[in-house]
Amino acid sequence: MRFSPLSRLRAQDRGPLADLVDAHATALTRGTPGFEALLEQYDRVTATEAGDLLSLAELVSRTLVPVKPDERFVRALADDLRAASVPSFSIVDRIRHLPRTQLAAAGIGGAATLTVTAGVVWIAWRSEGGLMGLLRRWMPAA
Amino acid sequence: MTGPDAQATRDYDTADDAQLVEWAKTDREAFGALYSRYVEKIYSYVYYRTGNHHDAEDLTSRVFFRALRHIERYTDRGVPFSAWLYRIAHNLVANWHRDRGRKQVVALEETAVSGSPGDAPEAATETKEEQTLLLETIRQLPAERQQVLILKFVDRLSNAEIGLIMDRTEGAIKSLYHRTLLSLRSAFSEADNASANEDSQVRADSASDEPQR
Repeated sequence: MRFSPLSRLRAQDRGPLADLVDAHATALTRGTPGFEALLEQYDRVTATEAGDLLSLAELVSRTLVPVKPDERFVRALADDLRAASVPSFSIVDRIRHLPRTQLAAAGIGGAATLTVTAGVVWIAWRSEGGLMGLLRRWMPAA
Repeated sequence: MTGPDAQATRDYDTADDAQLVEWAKTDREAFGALYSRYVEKIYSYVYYRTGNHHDAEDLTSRVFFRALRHIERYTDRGVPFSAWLYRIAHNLVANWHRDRGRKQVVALEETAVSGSPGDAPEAATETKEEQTLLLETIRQLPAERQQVLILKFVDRLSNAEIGLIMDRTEGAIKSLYHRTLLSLRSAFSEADNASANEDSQVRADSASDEPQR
């Protein structure tokens, strides 16, 4: 059985080191790490290899702490949301949520209409006497 | 029973998210309860992704207004409300970064970066510098790596919950976290060395500027 470099990398990811750092992060975010007990579950090589990764994870855990928004902002936004009038299903929303086939058909139809209109305008513009000349030729003389 | 009578009997505090979402489709108070539950988490997430309070407030507002506008059509197809909310936040933050240019890195404002309570003043200063440098390094990681760290440590979500937000399996999140720590270790070590070199250069410059006797 052959392993590609990518599958080897993935296998490494799922190895004991990945398990250890994951278990450690879970312990960190649940409160007390119980670090020693956690390390005992892994062999010495893995634990030594993981040493600086675990220290880094602890520093990340102390650095990335929840940030509280300003209370005035929270209250004002709550009021705005309560007062907001939300029109249900505007025309734009309805168009946006049409099935793809219908949207495509509408696009093709729109493009065809524009092309025909542009063609008529161009013919009128190029014909002798301009638009009025064309109309005079088509309309019966009074 | 519908309308105001039904609303009067609703217990918003004990209702679970799924129930609140159903109520919120016609009841603004229920949406308010969901807002109270998630505003701080979403704010923290957005804050660490944008790096300043002003944009965090702006984007948090947009997240909840967008949720309010679309909640009528929300159905739990394996993605719980909280994950749906984080996905909205993630998309808005991604647009925000795109609008400001991909390479731009925004410095974090003064945050809760602090040492442990028992730290001596010198150690505390060192820790604070270390944490500031770490924050800067984290903000230079690819977006998905920042996201996994923030969701894990700031919002304290499990791999399964993070997986629902990022549309990946639990195992993939575990691997992603491991790879993130490895890349963070090398980036942080480089940044730390660069900072130490800068400090020694400054010291050398100031020593050579001193008048010779």
